[in-house]
Amino acid sequence: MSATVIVDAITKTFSRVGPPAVDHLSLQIAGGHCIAVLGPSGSGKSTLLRLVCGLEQPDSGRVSVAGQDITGVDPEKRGMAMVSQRPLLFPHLSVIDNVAFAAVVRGVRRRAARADATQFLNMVQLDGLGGRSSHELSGGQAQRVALARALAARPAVLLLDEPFSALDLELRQEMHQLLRDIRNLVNSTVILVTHDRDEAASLADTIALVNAGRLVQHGTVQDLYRRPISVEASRLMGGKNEIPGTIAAGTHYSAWGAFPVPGGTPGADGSGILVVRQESVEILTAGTAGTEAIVSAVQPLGARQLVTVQAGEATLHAETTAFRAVALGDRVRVRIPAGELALVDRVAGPLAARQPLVQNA
Amino acid sequence: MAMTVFSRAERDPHPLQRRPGTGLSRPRGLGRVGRVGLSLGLACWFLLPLAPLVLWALADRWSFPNVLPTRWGSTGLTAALAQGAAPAFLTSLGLGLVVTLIATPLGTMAARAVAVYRVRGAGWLTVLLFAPIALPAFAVATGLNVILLRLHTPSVVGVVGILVVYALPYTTFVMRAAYGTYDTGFEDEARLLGASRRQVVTRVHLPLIAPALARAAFLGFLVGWSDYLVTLLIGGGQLVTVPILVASSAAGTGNTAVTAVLSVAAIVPPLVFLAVLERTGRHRTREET
Repeated sequence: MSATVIVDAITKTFSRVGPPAVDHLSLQIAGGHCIAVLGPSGSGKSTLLRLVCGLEQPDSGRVSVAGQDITGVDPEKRGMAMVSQRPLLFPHLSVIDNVAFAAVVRGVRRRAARADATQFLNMVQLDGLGGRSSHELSGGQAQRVALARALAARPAVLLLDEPFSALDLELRQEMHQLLRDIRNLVNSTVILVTHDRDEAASLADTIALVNAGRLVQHGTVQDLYRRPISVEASRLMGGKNEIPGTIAAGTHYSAWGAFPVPGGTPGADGSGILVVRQESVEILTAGTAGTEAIVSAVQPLGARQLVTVQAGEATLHAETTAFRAVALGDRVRVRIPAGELALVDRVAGPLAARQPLVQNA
Repeated sequence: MAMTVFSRAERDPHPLQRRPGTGLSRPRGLGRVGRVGLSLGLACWFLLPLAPLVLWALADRWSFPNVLPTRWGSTGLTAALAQGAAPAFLTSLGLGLVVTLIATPLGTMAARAVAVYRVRGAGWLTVLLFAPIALPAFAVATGLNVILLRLHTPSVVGVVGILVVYALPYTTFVMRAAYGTYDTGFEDEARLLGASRRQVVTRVHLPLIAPALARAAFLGFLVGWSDYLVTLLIGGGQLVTVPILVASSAAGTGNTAVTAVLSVAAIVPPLVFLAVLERTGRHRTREET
């Protein structure tokens, strides 16, 4: 069972003096899809989840599921289930009774509820652990039980509030695979709240980027990485390169050269910022095509490295494999693939003084 | 042929004990003897005063310098019953139960309000709740007695009301400590799994705070069961409880056996109550798991 979820201009303020935790935020999640609500700590993403499931009431705005306005509906009647960062397994119940909880409160007899719960325990690969107490589980097992318990409620909407952030990397990857497998078996709409870009990209069909309670951008994973709509979106997605410049006759001029305005339509003259993923910037050896630059920093990132290059006052970052021999002070050539550029924060108006251009070789 | 018998510890020593010389593997015999000695000492300290009480309760005659009673019998018990021990016992029991039945839920709600919800003036509320402990019972009882008389309040209601106020700090304190570590996330989780508000209370909230509730209920019962001053002053003689009988018996001479019987009777219910609560808590946990 799945349902389309619509969040319509929802606002929630906790403090009279402070800014709203969620500010006029609208979002649509297609039935059966998985959306990742991605944002830094304190951006309002968990509050958004609590508003959707009814644990918080909005100051204004509406939440609809399958075309029905559920804004004032009690949480237990919304057909949702949630898995939080903490498993929150009821300590006075065994594993099997935790998973059977939803059925028991629905009025199903305990024996039947336990039989039903067993299939969900099997689904999360915890066969035979039903008799254990929640205290006897490891962190990963407890989170699997929490997932089984939520699935056993057969929710139309499954809410995941940073459910894997307390697990180590290996366990997290296992849980990601488990969630992908489960999504093939159950057809719930999934709303995943996370601050981990990789997790969002790995699990979600679309990403809703949230900051300061506002929706910054909602789109596919590729869109968010390669076509951010603002510098804010680019930075939130971990983008490091912002190339301010002027736009004239459909061309963006900056210290890194002249590039045709991305998108095909030249638009009005003025100014704008080109953003490009550091993974897309190429570092070439001297004497090849590209803009000449000097390596000003090299930051190891395990199997990768972040190389910072400078051309005059302008700075650019490129992520390369760690095996690429680059040293501080090296003279290199930098190539920015025009197809990887996105123009953001464009302002139309009289041309500002053009920045000194570095000629492409 | 001589056979060497090894103890299990010798056959299968702890891994740390296989490496002599470390702090953890050092013999701890002396420490163990000390711990056992201290435990026995504490047990004696608690139980020793009860020994003469029990002996006196079963003694018809016990004169100095005999170590044990010279004549055993049930004269003390008969006399205690003749003085109204049975109804006093029931009155005390009722008083203890009524006080705990009122003070425990009130203390629980107050503790939850202070510890879990953002109640305005929580600090002042805490001071107010704990104030009865700071005030001398005699002063409070004497002062309130006049007010209650003018209000024509039935003495039983007055006694129960004041004892509930005295029990509240204890029940609140115990429950506040429990709510300090209580996670309301469990309740949210239960609601999202389809539990109604009532089911959340019965299936999640109460089981999670059950051990603390039992402790609070026990303390509330003790306040009602063991009170002397408030029952005497506010009850105005209409409420004859075990502590009042004990005090009246102890004030006279030659009543040692009767006083002992009544004192033993005063000890038994709290112990039984504690045992029942403990057993119920364990049984419930075992049943749930």
